[in-house]
Amino acid sequence: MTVLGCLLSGEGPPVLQTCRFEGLGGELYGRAAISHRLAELQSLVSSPLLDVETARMGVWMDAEYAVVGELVHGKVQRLWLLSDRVGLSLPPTIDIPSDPDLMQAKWETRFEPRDHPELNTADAARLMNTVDSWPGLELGRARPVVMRAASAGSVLLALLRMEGEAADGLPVPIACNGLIVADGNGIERRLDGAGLAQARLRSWNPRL
Amino acid sequence: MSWSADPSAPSPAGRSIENLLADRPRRQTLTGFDPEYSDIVDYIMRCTHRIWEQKDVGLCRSHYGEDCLIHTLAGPLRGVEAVVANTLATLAAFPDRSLIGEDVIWSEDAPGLFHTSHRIVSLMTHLGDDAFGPATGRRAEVTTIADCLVRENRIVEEWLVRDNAQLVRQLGLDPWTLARAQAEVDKASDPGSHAWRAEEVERVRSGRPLVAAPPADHPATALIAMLHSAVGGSNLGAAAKRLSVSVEGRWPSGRRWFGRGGWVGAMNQLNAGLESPRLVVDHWAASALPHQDLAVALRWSLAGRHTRPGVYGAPTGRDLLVLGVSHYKVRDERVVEDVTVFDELAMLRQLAGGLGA
Repeated sequence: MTVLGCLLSGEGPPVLQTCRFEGLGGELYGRAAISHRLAELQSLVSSPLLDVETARMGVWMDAEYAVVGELVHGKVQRLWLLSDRVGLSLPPTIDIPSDPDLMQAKWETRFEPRDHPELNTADAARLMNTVDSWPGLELGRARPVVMRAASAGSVLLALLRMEGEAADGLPVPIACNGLIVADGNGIERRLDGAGLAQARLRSWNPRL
Repeated sequence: MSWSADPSAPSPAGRSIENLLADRPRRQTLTGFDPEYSDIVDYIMRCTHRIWEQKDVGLCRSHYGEDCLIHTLAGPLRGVEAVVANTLATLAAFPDRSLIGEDVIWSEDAPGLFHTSHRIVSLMTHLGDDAFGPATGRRAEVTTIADCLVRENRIVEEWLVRDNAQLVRQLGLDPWTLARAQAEVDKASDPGSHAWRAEEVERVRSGRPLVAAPPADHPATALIAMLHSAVGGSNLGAAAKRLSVSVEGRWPSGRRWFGRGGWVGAMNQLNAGLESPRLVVDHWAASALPHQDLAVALRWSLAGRHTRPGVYGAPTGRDLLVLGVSHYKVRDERVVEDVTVFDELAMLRQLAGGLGA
């Protein structure tokens, strides 16, 4: 069984004490808080549609929830939950006025294969073709950042930070996480709807 | 100083707390250290656990020099008894404070003289009255980096940076209100007690770092050049090429950014309100991380005059001093993560006329 599979079935070692969790529209830090949320999640998830891992990355998903883990020596260092379920709120934040493009706007995906040692060449090309189109994305001027990517056998895994602008009202920057899984059967895209919902509720605050 | 790829003192990154606190025999030469410490990383992680979580605060007396000097942006502190008193006071307000060590980036700067840069996330509940005011009952998560100079089992000098503005905000308090109150107290105190700040501003302005530059092949060299290019040279885009295009950053007060543009924005938000900002790097070190990544720690000081509006409000015309530490995760010679800490509460305190500003 994979590390994430064990976690979601209530077996296996706990996450690292330094683990950071993003999901449910907010963040958690530390073993106790994350284990508590994972225990709740265990009763909500159903049989996995996908459960794969590499040395650095694991992805588990059923029809409603997708979980991405950053692994170090088989232990979970970071966790991302992508779902529509809101259960947390965002911490206080200072927003940063910035230009994601550093050029005349091309809205490029920020991705370099050398950052992802477990991603093979064919999957790197496939990811570039996949990430540029996201049907139904509720973000204006979306500029994805590929945070983690790996090839797990024949499966391409990529965790993204979807930065963009609010699609309605003032075009303030908002962001949420996204996941791409692709194999011979097709491409699955998941957006963290909870993160996007909470991001929309925030007002832009570039001051202390 | 050297790049400590030495596997005899491995990073705590990716290791469970059970593994970190397991007893193990000495595996690094540590002259004059207590026998329970296996290596310099173990010394930092274990004595922090014993002092803070096991509440054996008196261990400070065998782990700090009697006349140790602790530097913070709110002012220096001298002597081990002051360390004991401050630790007890913090535990009285935050009795459940846990100090979760994320990394210890270390170097042996001279034989037997170690420098450690210890990044900590503290989880705690504000249950006692303290300098912030009455207990709020709120939980907080705050990042601290403690740079320590250690010889023969004792910390002889320490530079401490904590994200105090974020702590205050999580307690439901207003950082500016607190900073202004602190500034009023400062204005009523002996001006000589703040001379250290003026001396530091002058040192930074005149470009005098506390250490010499690293050798050209040290991993810190490129990152020091990056900071100088951004702050002194104002060439933010060129500086950002030392970063991965998908770099992730966590900066004080909940700032979170991605990509080179995010870093440029964060640097510019800090600097754009300052006239003639100047930065010096006062310590550098590097050590190995899992998966062949590398951790680089830079401690830096920044000074400039607050003459333009921005993240800290309307210009005050006051000199601003910043003490910061950046921890970079480097992969294939480019930064993939940046965790930077500086104390914005002490910065607001200066802008409100405190600390002799």
